[in-house]
Amino acid sequence: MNSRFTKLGGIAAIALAASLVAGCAPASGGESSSDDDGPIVLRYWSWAPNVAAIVDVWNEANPDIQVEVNTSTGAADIVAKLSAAKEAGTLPDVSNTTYENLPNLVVNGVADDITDAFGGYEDQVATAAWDLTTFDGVNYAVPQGTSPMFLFYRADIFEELGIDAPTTWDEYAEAARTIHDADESKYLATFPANDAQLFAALSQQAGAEWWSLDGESWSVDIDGDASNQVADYWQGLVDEGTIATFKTWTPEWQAALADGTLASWISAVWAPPLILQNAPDTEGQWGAVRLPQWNEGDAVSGVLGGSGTIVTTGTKYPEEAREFAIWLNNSEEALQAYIENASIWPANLAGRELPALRETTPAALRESDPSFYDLAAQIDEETVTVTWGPDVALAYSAFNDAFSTAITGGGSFQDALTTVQDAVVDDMTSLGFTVE
Amino acid sequence: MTSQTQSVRGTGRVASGPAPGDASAANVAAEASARPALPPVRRRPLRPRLAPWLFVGPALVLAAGLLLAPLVYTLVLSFRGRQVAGGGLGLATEVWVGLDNYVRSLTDPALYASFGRMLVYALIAVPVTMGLALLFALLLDHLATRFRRFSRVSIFVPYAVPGVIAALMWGFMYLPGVSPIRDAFAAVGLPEPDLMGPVSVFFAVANVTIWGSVGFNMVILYTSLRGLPQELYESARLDGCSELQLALRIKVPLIVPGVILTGLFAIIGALQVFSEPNMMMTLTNSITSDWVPMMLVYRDAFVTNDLYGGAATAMIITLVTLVASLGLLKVLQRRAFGGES
Amino acid sequence: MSAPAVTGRTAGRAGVGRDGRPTDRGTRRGGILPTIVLLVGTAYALVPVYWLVAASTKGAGELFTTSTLVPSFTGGFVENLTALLAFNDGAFLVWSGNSVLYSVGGAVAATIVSAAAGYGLAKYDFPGKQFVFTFLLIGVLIPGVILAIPQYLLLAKIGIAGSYWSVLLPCMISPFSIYLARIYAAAVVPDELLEAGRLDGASEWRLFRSVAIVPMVPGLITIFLLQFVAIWNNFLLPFIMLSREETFPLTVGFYSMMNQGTDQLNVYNLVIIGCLIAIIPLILLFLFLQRYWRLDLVSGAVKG
Repeated sequence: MNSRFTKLGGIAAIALAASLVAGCAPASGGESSSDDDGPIVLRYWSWAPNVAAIVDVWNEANPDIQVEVNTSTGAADIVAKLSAAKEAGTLPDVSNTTYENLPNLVVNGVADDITDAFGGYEDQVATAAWDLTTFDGVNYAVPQGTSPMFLFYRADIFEELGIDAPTTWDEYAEAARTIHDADESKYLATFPANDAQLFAALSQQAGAEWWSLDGESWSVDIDGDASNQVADYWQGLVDEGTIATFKTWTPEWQAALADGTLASWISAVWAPPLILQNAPDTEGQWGAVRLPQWNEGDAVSGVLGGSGTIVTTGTKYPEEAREFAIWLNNSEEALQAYIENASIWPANLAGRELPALRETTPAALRESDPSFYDLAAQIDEETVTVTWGPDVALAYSAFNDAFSTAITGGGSFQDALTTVQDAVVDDMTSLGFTVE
Repeated sequence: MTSQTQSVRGTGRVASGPAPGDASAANVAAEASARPALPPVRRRPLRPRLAPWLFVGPALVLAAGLLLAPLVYTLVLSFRGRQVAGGGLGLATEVWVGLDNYVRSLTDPALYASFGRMLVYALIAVPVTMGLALLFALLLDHLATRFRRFSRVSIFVPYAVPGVIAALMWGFMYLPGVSPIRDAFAAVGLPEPDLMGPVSVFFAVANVTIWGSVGFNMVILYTSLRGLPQELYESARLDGCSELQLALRIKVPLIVPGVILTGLFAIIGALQVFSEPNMMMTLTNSITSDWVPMMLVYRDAFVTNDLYGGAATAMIITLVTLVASLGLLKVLQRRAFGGES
Repeated sequence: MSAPAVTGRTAGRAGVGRDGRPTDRGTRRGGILPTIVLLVGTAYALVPVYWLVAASTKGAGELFTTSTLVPSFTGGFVENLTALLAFNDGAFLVWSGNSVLYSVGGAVAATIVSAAAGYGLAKYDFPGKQFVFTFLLIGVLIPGVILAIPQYLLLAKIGIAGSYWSVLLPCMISPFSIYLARIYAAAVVPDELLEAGRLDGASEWRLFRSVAIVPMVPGLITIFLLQFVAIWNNFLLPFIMLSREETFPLTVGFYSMMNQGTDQLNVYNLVIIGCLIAIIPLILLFLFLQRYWRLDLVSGAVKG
């Protein structure tokens, strides 16, 4: 055992020492470099799982334009990394970003104008996605997908307790009580203080517009009536104790999903593979329905995530970078590869009709009618349009702090929203935006 | 020389060359003030002028480039800010904002709250670390204790675990649903403790650093104990001194300078605490992104994208840290090392 | 205390001669409680490590459903190890190699720089010496979190951010190591030999090599080890400096594994077994180099 480790370490060290010597020769901070004869190398940042497999398809077809993908930076860190790289002059050529962060990247001069190359694609791309990446008629990103929201629930647990999948928030609250009453250690869901994105989406469903832009002036309405309605609703459940309050994406949460402590999860189209990996024993036990509604018979949904591909202002090869970004999200080869390797709901309209997508049900889920992806298509239609402000990262960070404090200290969720509102307005005003 | 070290020397420990006490930071710092009083003892026949600079040069160049320059750069950034040209999604440009960032930072209650939490954390982490390190060091030095070699190595092992990983590991052990600690409580019929509640979280975070640093400090103190003259013990024992008395009355006072110096490094470490709470923030509602000053700087510069505001906060914290550390050094120098004369 | 101690000494000396080994008998009796306390401390240190071992045997899905203190024997360990080695085309081995490279390279360089500076500060009088030392000492007090970001921006300006050098260079300067080297040089390098050498006409560099280095070696090994561990465990600096996975050390690699956004599959099993493997070399380093750790250096107690 010992000697094997030493050997492995030794080999790796020698290999790296060699690459260190070689890598430092040009003394250029990892910029895309190309000799006169060699291929162009585009550097691409993404966090999507298995994206390398998709990039491979491109690299095989384009020996002259090789793409080097880097998946090390998560969605949460990518804006900070890009901003720092902008400041330092080491931007990659192409990067993924969530729609929320795109305005920030535009203001900070990271995302480049790609209208010349992409402007003609409007009729091939879902309107919601198009709107999220186009400001004032200028395209700043190629949309990759949207994220129709679902309520995923443990159909087996629900059946056992004799409850139906909730269609309204009242029914949802009832289900929460039923589950918690039946077993004090079990919950329908958790209200996660670290998931500002989820709260934003639920507020949008209730009609909130956290940011809106009218000509040159912004309105910020994070603590308005619709958001407060959502805050009050969840505060009620939390105060009753029928809903848990731990954070998502923690081992605690993963254990709770796996062992049935949590009987549902409000998430989006990309969730089923995660559920399955986390809780393989629950394969085929999950149902997926649209979000509960505020009014019986409504069909409204919010925006939970979704991302696009930007070409950065730092690229030396804008033509090639744009070509790649458009190919990545709109060509059949790429979309086919996406469907095989990752779980997305493409922004490209033709991609949504691919049989490979429509004919499958993710393994975590029960067969249903309409099928999962047919329902995704419907929900996508019911999703409200959203404008993201230029400092969403700040708003989310303030949200996490304010709601964490409210939950641990027993404070009011409405006050927490006001804290977020003030932080965002302060920040935007000091940056020089006109805020009403 | 200090009274403490003199007593050591008086009992027969005559070090060759400079006395051990010379080695402490306090005395090194005191050297400068002491120097003018010293008479010029000897003339060096060949006094090299260039050589010392050649030896110190590489360190100075690196320190200037990698410590001083970044600090100056931070200072410059702290006076700058971003300003958006148009109203909607205009491009932001860098502008001079004077003291605005400082005003914003100093009027933010979060800054003071973070210092407060850092102090609470330090008040737990530093004394417990030093207390346990001293206790274990004395036990290791106690001849009748068994398993000393095994214990010494085992307690030192956590030092090998990176703070980020230690925080993740302990986080797992604190979290309901996966916590073996809570399982253990449940198994014996006790109520499961909330290990990361609003109050217990201070202990939870402190525990991660205590766990990681006790062994290191223990070995330092143990080595110091081993350096003490054994004859002292024999005579004390024969004089009827119990092992406990021996430890408290003879061993501890003799290694006090070492304890204080390692304690000082522990305090400096506590002032800079970052990795552990930052990692544990992702696990619990009890830690916010402005929990301690370093997290605040990191958040501003790296999460909410306000490099300039972060720079101002960083300068304020650096100043406070420097003043506090140097002040502490001065006080310790006077109190613990008995002053200069 | 001091007066009775003196009388005690004389009385004690006689006592030894008379009744053989009184101390031994006394200490044997008092050994149980100290042993228990020490073993509690040992358990405190080792339980999390044991937890790591037990958790690394959990296969996918087992981690969150079975008790974490009871190891599984369902082949999870091999499964995790295989998956870890296969992760991202063997990224784990590359990261391990990087960690070794950064730690060895950075620690060797820091030790050389510190040895020279410590010797220079300890053995020469020159104008500005105190200023230089204070300047370096203040470096100990500046938090790494504050330095990392401007260091990144500055290194980017000279074009090496993101390269191996961007991590290695900042690791080469360690004010704390210089401080230790100064203490050690002051204690162990005899002035008389230096003076004698000068009279013989030896160059300063030669004096450093032939007179100073040899006695300083134990101290320098300690400095090397301290710096090695500091770099091995460092997270923030490489996290900020590096953006290409091929250049990551283990700490950043693990972080990136766990933090790849909401649509990434979770990889706790792999991170856990990776952590376990990552601390093994350090434990071995302690075991084999135990006698070279002169940690008394840190407490200021140096014997020549």
